Amino acid sequence: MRKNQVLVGVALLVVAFLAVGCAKPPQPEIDAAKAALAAVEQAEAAKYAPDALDRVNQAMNAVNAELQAQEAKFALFRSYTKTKQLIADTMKAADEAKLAAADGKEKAKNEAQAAIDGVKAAIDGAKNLVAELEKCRRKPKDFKKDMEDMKGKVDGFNVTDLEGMFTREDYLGAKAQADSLKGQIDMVVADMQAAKTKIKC
Amino acid sequence: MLTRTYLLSERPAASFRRRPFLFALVAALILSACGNRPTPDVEPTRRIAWKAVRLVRPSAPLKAKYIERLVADAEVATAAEAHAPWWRANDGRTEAAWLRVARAAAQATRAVRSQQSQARERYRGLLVATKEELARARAELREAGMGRRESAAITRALVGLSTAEKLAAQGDHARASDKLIAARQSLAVIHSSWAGVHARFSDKTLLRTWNRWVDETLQRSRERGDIAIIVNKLQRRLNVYYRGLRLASYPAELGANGLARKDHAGDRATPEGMYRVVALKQGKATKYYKALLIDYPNDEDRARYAQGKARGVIPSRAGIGNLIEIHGDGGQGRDWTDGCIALTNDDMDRVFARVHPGTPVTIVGMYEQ
Repeated sequence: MRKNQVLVGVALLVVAFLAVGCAKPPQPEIDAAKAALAAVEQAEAAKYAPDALDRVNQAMNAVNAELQAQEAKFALFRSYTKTKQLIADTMKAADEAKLAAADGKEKAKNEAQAAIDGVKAAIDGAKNLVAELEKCRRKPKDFKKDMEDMKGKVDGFNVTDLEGMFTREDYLGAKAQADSLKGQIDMVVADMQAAKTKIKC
Repeated sequence: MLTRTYLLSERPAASFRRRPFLFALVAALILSACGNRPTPDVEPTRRIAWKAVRLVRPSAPLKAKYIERLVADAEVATAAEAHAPWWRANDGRTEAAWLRVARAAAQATRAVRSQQSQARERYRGLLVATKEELARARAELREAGMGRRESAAITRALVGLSTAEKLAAQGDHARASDKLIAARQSLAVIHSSWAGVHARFSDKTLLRTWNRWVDETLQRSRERGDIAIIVNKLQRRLNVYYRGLRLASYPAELGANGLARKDHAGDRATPEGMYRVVALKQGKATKYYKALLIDYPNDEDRARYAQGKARGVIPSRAGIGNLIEIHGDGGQGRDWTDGCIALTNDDMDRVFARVHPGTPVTIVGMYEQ
């Protein structure tokens, strides 16, 4: 009778060891989460979606902390269910961060492109206005100097710099410069329009 | 239940001997329960660390990465200590890890703030200097009446200045300073042109020549008891003399490239030399209220023009030019004519009333009276 009890006890312990003691960290999932974090950084999240990147880092830290917590436990009591959930959260945050970074970059790129296109159109407009003024029949003497000045100003409107910045993916810098350039072009165009009205061209 | 059995047993030693597996199970439960100990409050440090990461990241991404790694290590240490069984307890690991985080965050924040402060100071200094240079360049453009190249340069400088202000507003003072430096390089084009135009005003040979012309004109005015006109281009003044004494002085406007010496038609420069009034025009005879036509080109102008042509410094199709006048419709506050000298209509009336054909008109770069 007593021998039977001992055997049952041993059998129970063996079953318990097999059921719980074999729990191992979900290494493939952990590796996937690490790769997802690297991909987020690769997507320039630090520049275009810093808050989303912080969320991914914090989620990854929670995974590491949970792994450590399980490591610290007696082997029989380890469970990686929560770790898997945290990894899933990290993967979700990483996907969101990647999307946010891509969106942010695309938005900055589109804004810079639109600003550059606006500048190009404004320069073309200014050049056309210069041509129109040159064709004017009425040309007062003092107008010649103004024309020379305006032509010089139009010469100074250069998009090469802007395009270089755009090619280097410095979208924020390109937009700032394009906005400034547009402001200057608008002022010169306003001067030319005023001159056109003044000489009744 | 098992614990209760163990505690209430009258003969524990005997009970342990009888139930070794139960004893092992109870011991394991007790030991694992000891593992969860209270963790220190790391939340404030955690918040500071993430704040530092956000601050440092744009200008020093590697430092931000380092803090992130330290935070990750600290989180692991915190979890490890919180869940460690009593025999693996290593009190203070969490505090030490977060202390490292706090130190690194503080150092990086200090360094970045110091860099930002230096960049801001540099930007402010450059901004003041650039604005001063811009004002100087504008004055130079107004004064010397320079051309298309200089207009382009000032436009580039204005765009650079405006971009710098935008970047500075976004907190990017380092790049804003770069833009200001580029703007100053553009303004240097104007300063250099202005210096080129003005170099001739310190040429001693020219100064001697101009002074000789003035002396001769005044001498003749004294000898003949007549009116003479002397134009000082640098001061932009038209002076009227009678018997060698100055009667009046009027502000004058010159050609668009007025400070240069006239070499040929179309250069929009005002000539320098000793001339005479050859015709007085008013009414329909002139577009500019009233005008005094002078006898440009004189023999000296013709000789210089021929030399310039021979040396190829004057375009082959350019004529020597003519119809240089002192006329009205001035008062625009800038040099705008094609080479003539413009006065306000009121001043023109006064000058017109005093002169006659043959009145000497001497135009010089500058002279000391």
